[in-house]
Amino acid sequence: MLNARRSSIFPVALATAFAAVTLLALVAFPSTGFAQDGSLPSSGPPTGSYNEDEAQGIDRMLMCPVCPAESIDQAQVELARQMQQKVRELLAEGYTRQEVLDYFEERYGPKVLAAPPKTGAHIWAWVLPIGSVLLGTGAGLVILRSMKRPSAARQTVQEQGDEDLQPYLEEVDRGLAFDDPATAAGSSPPPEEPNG
Amino acid sequence: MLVVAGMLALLCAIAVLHPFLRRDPPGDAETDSDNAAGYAELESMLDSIQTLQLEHQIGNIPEDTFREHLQTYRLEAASLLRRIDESRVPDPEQDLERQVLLARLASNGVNGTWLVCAGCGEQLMGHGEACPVCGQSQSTTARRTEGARRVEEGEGGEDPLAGLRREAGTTPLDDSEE
Amino acid sequence: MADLGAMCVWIALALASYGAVGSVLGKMRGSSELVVSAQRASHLTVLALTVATLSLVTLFINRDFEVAYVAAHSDIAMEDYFTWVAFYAGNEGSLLYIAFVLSIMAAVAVWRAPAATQETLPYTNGVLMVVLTFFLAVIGFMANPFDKLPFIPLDGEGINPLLTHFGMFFHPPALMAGLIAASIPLAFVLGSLVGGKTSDQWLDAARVWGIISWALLACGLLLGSWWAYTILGWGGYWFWDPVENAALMPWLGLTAFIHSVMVQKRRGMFRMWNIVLINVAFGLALYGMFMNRGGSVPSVHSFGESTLGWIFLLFLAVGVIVPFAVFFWRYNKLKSDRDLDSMLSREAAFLINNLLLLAIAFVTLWGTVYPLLSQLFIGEEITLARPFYDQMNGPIFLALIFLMGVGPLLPWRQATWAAVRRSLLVPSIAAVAVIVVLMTVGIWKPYALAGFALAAMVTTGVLQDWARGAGSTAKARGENYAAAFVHLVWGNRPRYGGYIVHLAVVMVALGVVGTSFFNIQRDVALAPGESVTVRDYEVRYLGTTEEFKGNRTEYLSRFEVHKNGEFAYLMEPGRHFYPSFNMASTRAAIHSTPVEDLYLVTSENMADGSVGVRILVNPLIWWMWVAGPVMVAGTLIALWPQPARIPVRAPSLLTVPGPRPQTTGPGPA
Repeated sequence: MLNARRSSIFPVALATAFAAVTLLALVAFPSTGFAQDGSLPSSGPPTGSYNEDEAQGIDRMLMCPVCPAESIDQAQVELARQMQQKVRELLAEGYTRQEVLDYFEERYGPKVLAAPPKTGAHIWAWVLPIGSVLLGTGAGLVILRSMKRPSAARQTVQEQGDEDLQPYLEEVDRGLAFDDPATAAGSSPPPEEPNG
Repeated sequence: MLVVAGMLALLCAIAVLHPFLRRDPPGDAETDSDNAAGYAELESMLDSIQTLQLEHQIGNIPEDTFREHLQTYRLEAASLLRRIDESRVPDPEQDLERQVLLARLASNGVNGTWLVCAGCGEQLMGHGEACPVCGQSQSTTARRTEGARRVEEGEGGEDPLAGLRREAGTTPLDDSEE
Repeated sequence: MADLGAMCVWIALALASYGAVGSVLGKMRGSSELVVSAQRASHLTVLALTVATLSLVTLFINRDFEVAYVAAHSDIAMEDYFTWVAFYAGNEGSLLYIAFVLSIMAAVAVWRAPAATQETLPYTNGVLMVVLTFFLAVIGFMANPFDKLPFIPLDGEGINPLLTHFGMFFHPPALMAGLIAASIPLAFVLGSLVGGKTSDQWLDAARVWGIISWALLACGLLLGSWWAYTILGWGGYWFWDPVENAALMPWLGLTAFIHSVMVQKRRGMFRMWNIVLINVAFGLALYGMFMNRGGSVPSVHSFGESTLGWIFLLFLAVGVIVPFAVFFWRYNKLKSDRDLDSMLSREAAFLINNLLLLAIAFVTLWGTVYPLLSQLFIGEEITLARPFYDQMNGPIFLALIFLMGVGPLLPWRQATWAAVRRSLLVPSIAAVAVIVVLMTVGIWKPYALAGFALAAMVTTGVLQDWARGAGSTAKARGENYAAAFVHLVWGNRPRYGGYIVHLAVVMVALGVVGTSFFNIQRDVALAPGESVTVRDYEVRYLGTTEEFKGNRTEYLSRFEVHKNGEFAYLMEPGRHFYPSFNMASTRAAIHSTPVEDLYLVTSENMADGSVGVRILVNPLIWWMWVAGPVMVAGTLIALWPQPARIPVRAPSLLTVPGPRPQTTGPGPA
């Protein structure tokens, strides 16, 4: 067991150490990418002003129509590259994210979207799993609560005074190697020597 | 290639059919799986107690809860142990073997000394036989009279003799007197 | 050689089906000869399948193109060591691999079965042999890797270039082994239930094999991510592909199972729940194999078209219905008599963890089957891909990590608020400290903040527990802290092994949060001599060399990286173009540090010598790959067997039959 003094110093020390490590990591590597600043290079084929991060976000929301289960950001085919190009052109023309997505949906059908909009018939794609998960979790918790016995009905240890149990108790203690008096003391009065 | 395949098939067939051809029934001592399950449960109870102690030491469990739970676990484990012992009723086949062994014991006059199987710690009566419990040949079995005496007198100790400790009340002599 | 292999498959099929029928019949009729004989037959499948496997390997090494499978998955130019990969490059070979692994695991599981399961072991063996029979029948009748072509082609088609990667040596075998290993805990559970042993007899065996299956799947998933990261050429590692999901779901189910089974072990509760969990996990594993080998959904993993779909679907249905039927058959005998002491306890935490894991599995399953459902009900195919999973599963994962921080601090049975507050003090301080520090440097993304804070919380919680435990052990044993810590871990292996795995999960979480929220990606085209600056990296393109290597052209581009104006290192991403596949496989150049990876991958080599290149800065992803070995170490510690503390007593020969007057003996006289 920890004594009072150590247990009071300990958490503070550990927390300080942890904060210090995090801080040190950030100080030692000031340039690390933990802040996506605006100083982005304006390289890349398409011209015109658009936000490259926004473009990449849109890339990830569009599926490549000709490759299996890959977004145009991942796919390594020509069509995907052309679509990426188109995304940037549209953005440069002032399209919003939603307008770009609509543009592609119109041309390739709803299958091109990586996730359907949360409207209309598509709402079920989102609502149903959320509903089932909430329902399931709720039911699980209710069942768990019902497994809880009323604290008044705590099982009292009936076998307490059972003389016959004594040799078995000793064997259990032997199995646990309760040689440490400190721990054994917490268990019960030291077993009496039964008069065999 | 087909020859190799044929030989392989033949080999498999022989191995699979072999149990039917043997005169003696296959020597797998029928272990009592309920008994074993009881021991498994006992071990996990001991684990629980160990964890309880650990969490108490770490400081996740206050003293009074610790004592209460420890006592419950210990009593549960002890009653389980007792239940295991009480359910160990020998089957009729073993009773027959016991009669045979007792008869042989009487004729050999090995009174008061035990052989202990090195494989499972079971006490043995006969000579030159395999251990009836675990099948270990007795040639590898050490004469453990001294250990048996110590157990009888309650000095106890080594794990392999725990089986004997339980039987300390029923030495061969006691048994024949009954 | 092909004939020998084919014969061995048939021999194995005969042995396995005899093993299945013989075990069950022998047990039901009480014929121990039949049981032993069936057991032998089951073990002998290992021999037959070893010979079959070796035959296929030999065929590959000899490039025996008369065999259709060899012709389809190798060519003369292939290096011999890729035989390992080519073996499971198609359906036929991977089914043979699955059958081979299953036969070995079944033999080991039956041989090392704990005593408590001995009595119902024939049923367990029967279940395993039924599964093996299914795979062998599919191999024999529908997808035989030893089938011959009517002619002998001059050269094979060659191995799929995406598979010629180091990660492919371990990712598919680990995943397939993990998926099939899920049948072993199920077999123990089913065997015990069918045999009428409705208590905890199956517990230890199912736990151990559940953990083995879980660890294999985890390794497979991590290796697969690593493979995707280094070869797929877009710089990510996970994209909720249907087949990835199919491997993730059984892993989630098994994660729930190996936690919840501890509640049964320690407290005798949740027995039915655990049976349901392992049934679900097995069903999901079968579904995983169906997705992988049946190929009904488009995926990057559809390496071979197949007609196996319907038969796998049928087996999937059987594999889900039968275990649940057995469960309901024994339902009334399964009730456990233990009650929950308190909602604030380890037991309750485990149940919530189970619910969250199943929630993720359900959402993932939903996303995987939704295209089919929408086709059926709405009439148009709708995709649910990455944005869907990120939005739905992200929060649940965060909740799980939170629970991972709190759960281990709760003792079994009942915790007191005071003790919980005390244990949570340090982790909470650490979490808050991390949030404050990150916000002061300008990071305000809520998900990222939550992720890092929770990672800090779990880590400090675990470390605090270790420190306290080591402290008290050191005091009790009079040792120094290091020795005390070793003793502590060794004395409580399942607990501390589990904590080590938790730390590995935190590492993975760090990688996920780092790359999801802080990565930088640039796609540029560079002519030799040109350079581009991505944050503080200046990447200068030097040139590309070309080399013909039999079946492919290898492009190797050289880049010079300057960091903060100083020359740092050279990077050489490669691109291998395979004319016969009209397909290129990329070899990303990755400069990896614990802080961040600089990742270069070329996408196109143009005629004028310029190159299309994707440059990524991926923070913290290093931790994800390090997590693998840590997790394996933790699993091994948790699984290392513990010796019995109370010796098992054999039934005595010298006791009097009938009630035993046995009360005086054991104690000191």
